[in-house]
Amino acid sequence: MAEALSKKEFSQELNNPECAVCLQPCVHPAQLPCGHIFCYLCVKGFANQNKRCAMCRQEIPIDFIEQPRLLQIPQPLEYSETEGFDGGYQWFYEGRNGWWQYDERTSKELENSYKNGDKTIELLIAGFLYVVDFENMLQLRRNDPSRRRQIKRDVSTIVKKGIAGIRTNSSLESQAVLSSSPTNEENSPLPITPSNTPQSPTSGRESPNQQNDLEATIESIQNLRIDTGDSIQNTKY
Amino acid sequence: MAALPRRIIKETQRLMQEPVPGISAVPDDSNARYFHVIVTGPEDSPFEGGLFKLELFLPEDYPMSAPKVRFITKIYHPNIDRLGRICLDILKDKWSPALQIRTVLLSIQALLSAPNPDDPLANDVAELWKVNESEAIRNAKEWTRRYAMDN
Repeated sequence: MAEALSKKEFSQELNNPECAVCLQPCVHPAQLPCGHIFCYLCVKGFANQNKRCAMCRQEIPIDFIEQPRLLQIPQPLEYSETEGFDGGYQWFYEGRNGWWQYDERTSKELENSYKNGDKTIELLIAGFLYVVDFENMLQLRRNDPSRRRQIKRDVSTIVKKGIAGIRTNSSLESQAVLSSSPTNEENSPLPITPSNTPQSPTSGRESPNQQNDLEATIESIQNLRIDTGDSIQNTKY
Repeated sequence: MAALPRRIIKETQRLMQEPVPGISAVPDDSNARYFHVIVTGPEDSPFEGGLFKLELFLPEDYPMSAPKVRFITKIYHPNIDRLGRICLDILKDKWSPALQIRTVLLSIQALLSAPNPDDPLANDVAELWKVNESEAIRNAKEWTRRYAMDN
């Protein structure tokens, strides 16, 4: 296990350029329009602050954080399931209508500190200093403790909004897969096996509102029609 | 107490491994965010031959905000005041998190070579620098000899 990790870290060194902000291999490398590459969360940090590239000061588009240009797709459900601590646990923080998984680096720090029996840990995330309180499972902003979120350690396969503020397809896919059939796999870039499909009934809460629920359902029905015209007549009509 | 962010650890290691010529920055034994700095006066400047002590502190949200840097050694310079405070854009509104301790100290050393009396912090010094540059440079040399060469 330890060997596998170090091997993975080694390949990360090779594939990810060093981020000029955190001085570590980029986590979720994001490329700004000027071409400079940083960790997604590092961009978020300085985009919030002065809205300019840390290297060349070119302005960052307002919607970049919402729609970043990522050089790697965040780990799909299938992959992250085999990762995780103690055979598949991950760290999550509360978002609106669902949970975000922490980025890999922060997760590791949380897990180490948690295993260490620490009561709290301080983390610099996207330019803000946070205190994580393991006794109450809360994340508080150091200079504004009213900004707090619940956190949890849970199996990596739970339905989630995405990783570190990056929406992952897996959450959309899992919705679609839930309501349709394996045909959906043809549309997804990374095939996922049915065993990865979260079957918990809470998945409906994942979408921000009912409108999206409806859209997702309509979409999956359309997929059904296109892909399995025959079976629809048997099952649906 | 709070763990030191990886970035600070990495910067410190690199400062030790590949020191900048003419600049030394050593973290304090009891506070890894506080650095004891010595900058040598640049050649062909009135500060040549001087060793200038500074203090540098990395605030909590570093590198999202700039280090706090101050001259401890007295210096006669239009952009450095009596308390050693430095008027330098990258320490204020032009700070970028891609800058580092190393680049900040190099910029400060460059400021010694290129005083800018049009953006003064020490008004009397800046005034003299503008109306009688040779006298100002004489003063700067004298202060360097008196305060920055004692050992």
